[in-house]
Amino acid sequence: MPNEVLVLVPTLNRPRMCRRAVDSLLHQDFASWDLVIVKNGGDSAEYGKVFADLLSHPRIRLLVMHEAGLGNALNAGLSLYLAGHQYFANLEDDDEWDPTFLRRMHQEAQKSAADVVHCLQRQKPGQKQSNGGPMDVKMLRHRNWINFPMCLFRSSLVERVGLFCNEAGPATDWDWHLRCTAVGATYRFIHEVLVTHHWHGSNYCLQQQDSQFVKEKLKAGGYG
Amino acid sequence: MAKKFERCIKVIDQKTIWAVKGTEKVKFETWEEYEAAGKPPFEIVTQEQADAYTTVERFSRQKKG
Repeated sequence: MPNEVLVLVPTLNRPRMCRRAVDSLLHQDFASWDLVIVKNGGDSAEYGKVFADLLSHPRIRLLVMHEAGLGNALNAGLSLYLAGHQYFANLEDDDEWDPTFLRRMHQEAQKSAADVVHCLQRQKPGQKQSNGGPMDVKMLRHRNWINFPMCLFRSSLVERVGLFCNEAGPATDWDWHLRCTAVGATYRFIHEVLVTHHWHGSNYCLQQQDSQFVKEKLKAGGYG
Repeated sequence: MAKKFERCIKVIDQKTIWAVKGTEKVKFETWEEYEAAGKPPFEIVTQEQADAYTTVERFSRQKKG
């Protein structure tokens, strides 16, 4: 019987950071979750070692795929394991959740019946991007400030919005939010800092051309 | 290799990839065979978890009706 929340952790070539992210899930004060770590291409041997003690955990799976791409990784996790879960969340492998993250997000989702509940993040070290804020559909057409790890999604959104877009690359979250708002998804913002975003020099979101796909699709009117 | 399976597994530190259906598992005999199946994602599992499946040469047919 699945738990309420499916947590996906897509990861590529940084098993130690990924372990830190997973440890932050293990320390949650909310227990109704299942975890799928999606190793997204490359060698899986190091991941096997780093997660060896968790392989027999009844709620954790380590999935290895040959195709690269954030969207592909998330889609593999959703396609294989989403059934039966009321919610899902994407924890990036270099971020961490505070111990109350899932409980607070779940509480607000239950209370508000929103499709997406999102919160604030802190950044270490320094601050290079927004810490988050309420959804604003007009502003979203210019930039994204709601990273995946700051969100809890209702699973029924996948039927309405479709799977993640691999072509969007590091801007997969931006593309997803644009598609969610295009179908009228409801957002509930909670003004609490529950996520830590770590800057380490090889953040996926720092890649060049990271949002070109979304900008071109916006220009072409692809988000309605 | 039967074409229809539910998921794939691989025991940690071993090379063999198995297709799983119900309580049965079937070995991909060659890399080509795995490629031909579309290189599906596989779960890394413990030996104990893999041993919980019965090893067969091909999946048994589901009875209809």
